[in-house]
Amino acid sequence: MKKEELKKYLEQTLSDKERNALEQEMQDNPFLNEATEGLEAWTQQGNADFDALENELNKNIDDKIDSKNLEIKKVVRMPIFRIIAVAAGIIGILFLTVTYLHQQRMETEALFEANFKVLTQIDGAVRGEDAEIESNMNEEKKAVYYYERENYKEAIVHYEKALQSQPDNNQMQLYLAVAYLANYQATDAIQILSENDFSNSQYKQDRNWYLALAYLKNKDLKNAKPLFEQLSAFDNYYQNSSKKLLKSLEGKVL
Amino acid sequence: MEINYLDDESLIDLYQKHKDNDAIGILYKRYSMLVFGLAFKYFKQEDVAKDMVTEIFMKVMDKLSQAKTQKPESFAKWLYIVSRNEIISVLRKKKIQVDTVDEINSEKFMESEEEIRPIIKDIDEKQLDAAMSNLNEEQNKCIHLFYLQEKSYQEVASLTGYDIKKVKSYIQNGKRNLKMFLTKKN
Repeated sequence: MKKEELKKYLEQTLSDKERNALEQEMQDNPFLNEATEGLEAWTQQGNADFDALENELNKNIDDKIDSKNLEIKKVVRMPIFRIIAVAAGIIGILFLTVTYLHQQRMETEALFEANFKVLTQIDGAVRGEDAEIESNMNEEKKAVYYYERENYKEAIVHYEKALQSQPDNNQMQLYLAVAYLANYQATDAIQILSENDFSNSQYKQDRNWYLALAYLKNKDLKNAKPLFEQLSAFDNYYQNSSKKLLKSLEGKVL
Repeated sequence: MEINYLDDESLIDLYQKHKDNDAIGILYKRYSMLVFGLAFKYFKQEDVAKDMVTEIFMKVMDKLSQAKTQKPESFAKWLYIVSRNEIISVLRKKKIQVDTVDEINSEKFMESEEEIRPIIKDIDEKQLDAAMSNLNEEQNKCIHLFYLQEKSYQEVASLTGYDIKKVKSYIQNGKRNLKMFLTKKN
């Protein structure tokens, strides 16, 4: 398509011969014919700057191409960058979270280990190296026998049996809970200490202390902290230990 | 390689095979003024016609992209059909009645515009005189002046006293009649 020739035609600067040649082409080319009619109508509205018109049309086309190219870049490149960025972000967050949680768990675990000691000096304990288990011993005595010998697994079995006949015995409940804790059964310890009434028991503070430790062992600071706070609020055997523990637990959410 | 100098088909190839939007841009810009002229002819509004140029460009991109490796025999002819149909579709939405051209039958449509010049050139004077005698006076005069004496529309109008629009119409219809007569003869 001879654009320059068309412009000259519209500007009426072609010779008659040249005009006829282009018009003959128009007769055979309906696109050129109709477009020329349109452009003639445009000039009849007082327009004459074809270059400005063409520049504007082409700029609009370039803008469309730019936006298309941008779409392609977005489609092709963005996902790669995004995937890398998102993956890196997720890995980073996961790493930090896992590290943070692991650190806190290790710390609570260490706090539990540092503070947990089994209760000793049980009334009616079967002591002495020579003492032997006897078949006629009642379940409580058997439980104490094993407890004293740090066989907490056997102690648990006999305390559980003994409690069947004395379900409200706070002392046995407490020792059973401690045996549970020593045997890594924190949830069982929590159950027996929280489900029984120790409010009027001489073992009330012991119960609170071991229950708090059981929660700590289970990383349940929400329930452990109030118990340590209670114990640190007044003079008792566990006051100092509770205060120290609370200080160590400051800022921890687990 | 400077792609500005590539022919239409090569630019379509670049676009279809390599998704080169710049290539299709270069190709379309060759015809942007014509598309504008065509749109202006129907809409008579500069802004609308300008918008149509970009709308049709997007259409062209989509259609060529969908066609994958198939390409029109003549981009210019195909573009004319696509542009015209797009314009008509917009006009229809505005409830303005215009005949559409089926793109599938575009080749057939374009055939009807077969060039008359080679026909006039190829036949002998006697045959041409016989054919010309079948035209009415106005068509005969205009065809004679336009094709044989190579006068411009304006000159034909001055020499005959007809309005330019009439001159174009006489030439158009005379050409068609001439072609029909000569085809029958052959």
